[in-house]
Amino acid sequence: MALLIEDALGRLGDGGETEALVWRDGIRTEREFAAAVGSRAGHFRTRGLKPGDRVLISLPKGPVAVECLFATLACGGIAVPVDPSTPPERLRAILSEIAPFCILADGPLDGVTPGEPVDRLQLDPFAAGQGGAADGFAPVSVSGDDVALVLMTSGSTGTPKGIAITHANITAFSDWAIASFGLTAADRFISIAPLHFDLSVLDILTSRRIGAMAYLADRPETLFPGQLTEAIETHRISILYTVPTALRLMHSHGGLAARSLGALRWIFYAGEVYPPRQLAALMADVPTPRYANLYGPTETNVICCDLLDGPPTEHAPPSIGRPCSHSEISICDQSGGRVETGERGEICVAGPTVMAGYWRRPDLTRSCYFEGDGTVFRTGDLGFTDEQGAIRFLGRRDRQVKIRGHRVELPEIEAVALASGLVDSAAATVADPGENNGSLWLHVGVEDGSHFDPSQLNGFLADRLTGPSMPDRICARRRMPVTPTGKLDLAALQAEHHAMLGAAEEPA
Amino acid sequence: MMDARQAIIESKIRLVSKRLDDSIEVTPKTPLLRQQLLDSVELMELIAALEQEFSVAIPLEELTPRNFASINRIAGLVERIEAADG
Repeated sequence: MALLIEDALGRLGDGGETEALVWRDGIRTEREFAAAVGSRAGHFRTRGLKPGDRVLISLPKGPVAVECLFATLACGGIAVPVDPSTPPERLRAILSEIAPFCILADGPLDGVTPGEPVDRLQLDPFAAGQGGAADGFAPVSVSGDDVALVLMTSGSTGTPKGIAITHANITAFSDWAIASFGLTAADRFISIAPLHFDLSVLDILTSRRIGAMAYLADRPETLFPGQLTEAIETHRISILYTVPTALRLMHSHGGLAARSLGALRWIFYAGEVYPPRQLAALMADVPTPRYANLYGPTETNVICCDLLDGPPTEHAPPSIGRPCSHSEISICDQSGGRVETGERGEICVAGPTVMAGYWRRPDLTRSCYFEGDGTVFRTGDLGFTDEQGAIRFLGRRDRQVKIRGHRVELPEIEAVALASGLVDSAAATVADPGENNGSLWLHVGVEDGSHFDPSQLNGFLADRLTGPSMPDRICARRRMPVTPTGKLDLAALQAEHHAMLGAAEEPA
Repeated sequence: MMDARQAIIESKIRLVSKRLDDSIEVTPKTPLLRQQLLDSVELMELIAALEQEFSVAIPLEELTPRNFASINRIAGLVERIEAADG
């Protein structure tokens, strides 16, 4: 079986004048895309890029960023896409972690001070294409075990860590997605997630592999749900993959349901739980496409898939569906033993999409496996297998807390609050969890606050949660803070909780 | 210097943005979106606040990165809609 990158580079130029990349202000045809990738790859090689070198791509989403990504891979290099607005301290930490060959940026970078080795890192991506180096450029051959991408993520210690993803990893996910959803060159993708988000393995890498068009939404555009829904309509998008928060905004503020969406075949969402009430409303208002919840941390890409026949109805922890064909899922206890159906444990996986490891952090990588075992990857997420064989999601392992000596699952509280149908979003935080008087707050987002009655929610919770899991306080607001990738910002809520209690120290 | 409308818009932006604390100065030309001073949820909140403050309805097709690029641009948008509502 061919690797994704071999397919993508092998078909470069096929399709001639058909659209390869489309963005708000322009189009790259297949022919233009092939020429640009070849030219940039030739330029990179002339500058000395060797197989295994890292290329930090700090560019806004657009054709140049995508061309640079493929040009890097064509040279056998490792692409490290980062948010172009990465704060200086974090960028410095990433540079020291990754030691890149060069940084591709469209302007001066905060946090990169002049001098060795930074001078030689500056490489203007827009200078590519001048030298005609594309002529005769032949891609470097790579093996499945070679690292293709490093995606940076926050570590629990505050130092960013790189998730090293091989060519075999991305190929295995892509093979599964193409087969499961019948993806073809006739499909039309929209890329909403940033390039440094693993959704790009579908939106961008897989679309280029099969010769399908991808519409690239840049960050300013993604801020306006109406712009996204307009692009979906205008460009007859058939494959939409994003996070629930973005979909909810497109539905509530972007006029999604009023658009003409005849071409839309699939809506995929991932990254967080879709509140059941909003999902039901979306599915009722936008009935044409099929819906699927794709589950898996960045370290494993998608390992479970829930094909939705209808909106979730029962008040139970959300289903993440069944294991993908490439994944062997087991629910394990703390020592790695498999637990019975219905019993809680950690969601663990073996399969070809599991990352090679954290970039140059063997100890950290080992900590994701049980002692004496290097095969079953621990996702850090908790769940159980239900009677139907579907996996139910209970949230992060590290969001299990003890309150007054009792074990409390914060995600459980949130899931129950969402199931009440009284709130649009929910996040539980605990301050001073180690103390006997640890306080538990439930932050809820209620977009239409006029009818919200906290005591009604409290009553619903009291009927379903054990005493220790009952929040000490319910804080309602119209909007909840979100992270740059559109998830609820738990850290911000946690910080607020601490600040309001007057806690002097940061949580451990 | 900001005029009255721009000053009101600034105050609304400060109200919704969690990134923008009092130590950060903004001018009518500060690129609000490029500097990532607002996220998607905050923008929707800002739009609701502007609609209430100025008693206007901003049509969906006017909700664009260009019209919200800076305080200047937002003020221009509000002015245009007010004039059209006449």
